[in-house]
Parts: sequence; C-alpha cells; structure tokens
Amino acid sequence: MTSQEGPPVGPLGTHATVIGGAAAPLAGDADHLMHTTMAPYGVVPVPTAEFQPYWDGAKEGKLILQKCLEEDCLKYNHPPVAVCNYCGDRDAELKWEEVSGRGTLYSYYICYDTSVSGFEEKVPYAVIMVELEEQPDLLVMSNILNCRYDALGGGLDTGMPLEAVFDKVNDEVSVLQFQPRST
Amino acid sequence: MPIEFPKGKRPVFVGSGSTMCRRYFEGTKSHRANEAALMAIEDAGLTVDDIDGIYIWADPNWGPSQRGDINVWLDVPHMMSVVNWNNIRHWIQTDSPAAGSCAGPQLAAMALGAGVCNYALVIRTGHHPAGVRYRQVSGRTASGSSALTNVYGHGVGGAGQAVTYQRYLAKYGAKREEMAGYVLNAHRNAQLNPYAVWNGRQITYDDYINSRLIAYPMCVFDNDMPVDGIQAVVMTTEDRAKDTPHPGGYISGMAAIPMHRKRGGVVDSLEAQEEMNDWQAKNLYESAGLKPEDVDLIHVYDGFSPMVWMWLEAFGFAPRGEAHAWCQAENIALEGRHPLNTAGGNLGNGRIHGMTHVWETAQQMMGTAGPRQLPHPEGELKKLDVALCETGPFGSASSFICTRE
Repeated sequence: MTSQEGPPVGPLGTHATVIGGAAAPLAGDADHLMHTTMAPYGVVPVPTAEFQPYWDGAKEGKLILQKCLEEDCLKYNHPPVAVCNYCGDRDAELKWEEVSGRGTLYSYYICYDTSVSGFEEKVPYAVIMVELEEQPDLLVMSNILNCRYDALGGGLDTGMPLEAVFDKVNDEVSVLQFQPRST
Repeated sequence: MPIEFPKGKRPVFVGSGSTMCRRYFEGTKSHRANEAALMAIEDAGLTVDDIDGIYIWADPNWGPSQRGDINVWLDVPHMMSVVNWNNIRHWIQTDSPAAGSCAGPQLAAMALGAGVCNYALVIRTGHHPAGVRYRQVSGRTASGSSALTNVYGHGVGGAGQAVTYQRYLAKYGAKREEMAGYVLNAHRNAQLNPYAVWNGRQITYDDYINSRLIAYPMCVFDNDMPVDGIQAVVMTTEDRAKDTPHPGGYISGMAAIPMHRKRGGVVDSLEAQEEMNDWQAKNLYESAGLKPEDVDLIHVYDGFSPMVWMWLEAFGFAPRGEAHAWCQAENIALEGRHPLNTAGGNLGNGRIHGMTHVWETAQQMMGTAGPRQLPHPEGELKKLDVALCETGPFGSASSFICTRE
C-alpha cells in the first residue's frame, strides 16, 4: 500500500483543533487525493434539540456522545436514543460525555458518483467509517483530512490509527472529521 | 419447531406473470399491472373472479418523497382499480422498506393457511420515472441522524453497501475481481429470461472490470438497473391446487430479520449484519425443518452484488469469509451444484426489488421456467426438491423455503 509520504500527518493537534474553512479542498497531485478541509460543505448540518450537545461540542472541538449510565451497561448510543439500545432500561440515565476522539479506520469507499446534491464538484472523495476506541461497533462516519490516498484506496489501510479533528462549516457549525495519528 | 398448516391447506404457487422489465413502461403502469395480474391468473388456470385475496409489498423504495404517489408505486387501491375484480374479500399491504418482496408470499401463505382467502394474488412493481434519480439526496441542509452522514457526501443505496463491501474485502482477503463470477452469471441467466432488461446484451469480464466506478470498490454493474416492470404470482391451498395445471413450491418455512441486534454506531458494522443475517437463516431453517444441504435452488437478494456473498454465508452454503471464492460458475451456474438467481436476479433482470426472485422460485418449482428449468439436463444438480428464496438487503430482509412435495 502507499506509504504515508507527503504532508506530515499528526500530531496536528488533538481533537480540540478546529480547522478553518478557506483552504483548497483538493491539494493532491494527478494520482493522489488529499483534503485539508471538505469546506465548502455541500450539505450544511442544522443542529436540532435532540442532537444539540453533539453540535455544541463540535463547535468547541470536542466529540460528545450519549452514554448510558446504568452501571452494568455504560454503552454509547450514537445517534442518541430515548431508551438505551443495549440494556433497554427505560429508567437508565443517558448523559452526553466527551470521548477521546481516537479510533481506527473500519472501512471506506471512494465516491465517484455521488447521490448527494452539493458534492458533485468534489468527486472523487473518500467516505470512511471510524471505529472509536471506546466501544467496538461504535462507528462514526467521516471523510479523511490531511491524508494522501489514491483513487483506488491506496493509503487507506484498515485499522490505521485516526484522530478526530473539527472542520469549520461556518461560524455556527463545525463538522467531525478524522485525520491520521502517529500513535 | 417447523411451522404447520392445516391438513390440505399448505400454500403453494399455481401461476406466474411478468411484464417486460425495461427502462420505461410501454403504456402506463396501470396497463402493465393489469397485464401481469391477468397473465398470472391465466397461468394458474383461474379467472379474475376466483381471486379473493391481494398481497402487496408496496414500498416504493427509491425515495420516501414518492410514498403514496399513485404514479410511482403500485399499492392495493391502485391494484383494485386496474382489474375488474368482483370477489376480493381480504388484502394486506405492507410498506416497510425492510419487509422485502418475500413479504408478499408470506402474507398470502398465512392468509391461505388460515382460510381468510382461497386464491391469492401477490404482485409488485418496479417503477422509475424519467427525470428522477434513485434516492437522490437533494436537501442542502441536514438535521437529525442524516446530518451524521449526508454532510460527508454519503447517500444511501450503493454507497451504504460499499462500506460493508470494503470491510469484507479487507477482512477476508477477497478481491473485487472475484465478484465478476456472480455478476457475469446473473447476466448469463438473464439471456434465458426474455423479460430481463439485460436480455440480448451479455457483458464480458472486461466490461465488468473496466466499467465506471460508482463507489469504489463498487462499479456500475454491482448496482441493479432501475427499470419499469411488474411481476406477479398466484397462490392457493394444496387441496385447491390439485385442480390447477402446474402447482409447485409448497411454503414450508419463513422468516424475517428483526434488526434487534445491539448497535451503537451510525451504520451497522459488517459483523452486526452477519449476526442478524445468521439469525434470520437459523429461524428460516428451523421453521422449515430443513438444513442448508437440503436446498437445491438458491435465490438471494442481489440489488447490490456484495449482498450475495454475505447471504450465501449466512444461509450456510459457503463458510464465513469464503463466499467470494465459492460464488463462481462451477457452483452457481444453471449447470452447477447450486444454481443461484436463475432468472438473473436484480442485476440481470432489473430492479423489481426481489420480486424476480419470488417469481422465478415459483416458476422453477411449478416446472414452468422454460430454458432455465432445473435440474439442467447437463447439470450437476440432479433434482429440484427444495428452494430457498430471500429478498432484501443485509440488515433488512425476509425469506421463505418451499418444497416440491
């Protein structure tokens, strides 16, 4: 697979980093892709009450997820739920808590023909799933920033260590993204 | 425990009908619904007045904004209006996308077994009007759970399957080149199915491997073609079927995916999907009192090609992680040991969302599959006693097993 040559990868800061939105979305050569930001975003997230703590956290550069505080459970539910999907205890307290932002590459695809309006100019781009270190199966979606990869996935290795970074959409909203981490 | 029907009341297929499955309907959807229904009824040796039950899985499945639009989907009220029915006394329409095309024969089987109706029509349309892109995400803002996916340029359909497919390839050491084994076989079977959209146009390995990428590792031929088409079957009870020309395929087991596996993430992992797929398979076999080695004909859903490998493993035909090597012509061709999706499936016939699987399972068991009829005269499979039919993507699906005797 392609080695991690080119731009330095991690530590570009912890997940408290919020990247500005002005950089070119594509900074690769003919054979490689690299995004320093996905802005401008073709689809802009609109925080709703159910998700407000998540988006408040993102704006501050924190990944905040809903955790079940039932002592025999302690699982994260993402997207958030009204009744914990794991223990089913309707009396269990569900609390928003910051997580490490560390995870590994679970899977990915390279989008060539997008079905999402607003992304037509960005193809090809990678969509990745990240398995967070807090819990197996706690998969979050992302693109990948500050990582050189080729158009058939070279450079995107299953299990590679990643860290959260927050990409500024506008003054109100930042979006969770991931970049390679060295440790 | 195997399911039981009252003596003489086992549900069985007695007729089938299909329109041409082409990019656009000739005439209107109403014309074609009439055509498919009457063809199936005539094939069963019955008349319109014999039919007293209608069962439809009516989810439009390519965009929630079209739900309920009579121009797009074929629901029960529409079906009532296009045939001169006189004796309908019961119907059920299920709309959940997760139900799948096997929900139709499942509902009919239960109604027949309970005596709620005597002759049931099961019908489904695939319809894709001009100017509508399948499952286009056109909103420029996203809220709720969709904000966790759409902001990354992630849609639904093939893109969602690509995540699982890439995980499968990496975990089990499979290669996308191996998928040609399934795709080319589906297209080959479609050459013997005159209704199939790909009939008359056999693609090659080079066509497949060099085709346009949609969501790498998936290319365009890994996605079924949106088509207009309507397919139908007629079912009745064992005692009544004796008076019809070619009954076949007694429903002996059924199951559905409950989707109740614990999960915390934005999408289901490969492993979570495998767990629920296995759960459906276990329940299906137990309900039929049969085992994988009893099955002769296999129909599994192939709206997106990666599903096929996962279903073959879940239903016990290939060991976990090995379907990529197993799913090749020597096993799955009409002449192979385990013929698979013999009318071409979704990929060869076009996107009727699994109704092709139901329609073809019925035809094979009734002995009316024509040039595709099993057992193939030069095939390794020597009998056709048991068929398994599953429809729906991984994570949401329904299935049945039916037997010759």
